[in-house]
Amino acid sequence: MFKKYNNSGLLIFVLCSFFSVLIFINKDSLFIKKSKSNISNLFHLLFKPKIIISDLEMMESENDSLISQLKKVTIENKILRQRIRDAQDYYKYIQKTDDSYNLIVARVLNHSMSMSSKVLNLDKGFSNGIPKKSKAVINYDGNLIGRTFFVDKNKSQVHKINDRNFHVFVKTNKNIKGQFTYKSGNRGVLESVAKKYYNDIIIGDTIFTTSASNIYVENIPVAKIINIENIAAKHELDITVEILANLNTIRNVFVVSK
Amino acid sequence: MILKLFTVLGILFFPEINFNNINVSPDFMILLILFSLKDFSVPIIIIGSFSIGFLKDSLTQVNLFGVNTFLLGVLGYLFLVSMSIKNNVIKYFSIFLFIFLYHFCFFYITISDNFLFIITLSVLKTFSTYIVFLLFIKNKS
Repeated sequence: MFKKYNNSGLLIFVLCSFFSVLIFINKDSLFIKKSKSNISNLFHLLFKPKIIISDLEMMESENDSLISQLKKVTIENKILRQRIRDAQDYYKYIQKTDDSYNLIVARVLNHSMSMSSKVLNLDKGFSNGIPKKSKAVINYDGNLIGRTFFVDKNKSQVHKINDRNFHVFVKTNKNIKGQFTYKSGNRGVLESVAKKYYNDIIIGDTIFTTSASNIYVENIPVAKIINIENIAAKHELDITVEILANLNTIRNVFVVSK
Repeated sequence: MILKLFTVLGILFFPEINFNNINVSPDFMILLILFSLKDFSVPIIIIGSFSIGFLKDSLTQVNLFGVNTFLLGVLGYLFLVSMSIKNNVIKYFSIFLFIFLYHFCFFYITISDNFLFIITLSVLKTFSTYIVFLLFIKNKS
């Protein structure tokens, strides 16, 4: 009934069966998956080239949109990193601050759009512990930003140091007292300093708040002296100072009270 | 050669015939193995059957990769055995039986449905394949 049959066929059959079982067992391995995908892609390319080309075009446009998304995310990431750094700086400042001061952290909601009055709004009011009376406002470096002048239940307004009507009594590190008045840009003047102090004041000195008022606690850095002129026609020294705080990039501040 | 060419064209362009969303059109890959039996040596037929199975797995299988490789390999070997049968009636019946067994095993593994449905599917697929096989053989002779 049967013809003579070659045994080599049986051997190859057994080997191939073993191989196919091996493939089945390792079907989840990376090599098998890669081979499968390559074969599938090859046949897809051979028989449906138009679809492949349209798929590639779609992938390209998707890729472009992903690149633009990535750019946005990178920018967001940079902003968040900056915020983390800011937060770390605040934390450092809080740790090294004198305990006799009460610091209330507040977020800047917005800056006044008016050019005539330099004001910023905070997200905290007297219900959050901010005193109703005017108090000093500082940034995370501890430099003076301004003072609170209107405190609502949940909001406060801050009169900024770079307003023309802003004045504060200050002193140098050698306790020479005067009055800081804002002029323009980030510059102001130190007024009411007698000519006898000409040799005691040095360019680069920092001026601080004094204990003379109930608004400011003592020794808050305000500005740095950048120019001193002794003009004969004037009765006092002509001292130009530069505000220490960068008022354009404030996001969070501290309200200082005793 | 023409038979094989037609079979390859059948693999590529024959439309799908669906029964309950399952393709029961003739299996031209099986036919390709059948028509190659007399033209090639035994090792080439066996390796070819496994290769065709592997190709089919690569293009169709996701979860049961390797099923077609094994089943078509076994089928190729069984066809070789059936070719050694001298009686033509028994030979063609055994071919029919092997094709049925192949489809039954394949559907049994891949479809989780009742037994009767699997049998029906296997019979339909086997008949469609076998009819094409007989048509091709008849035209050849």
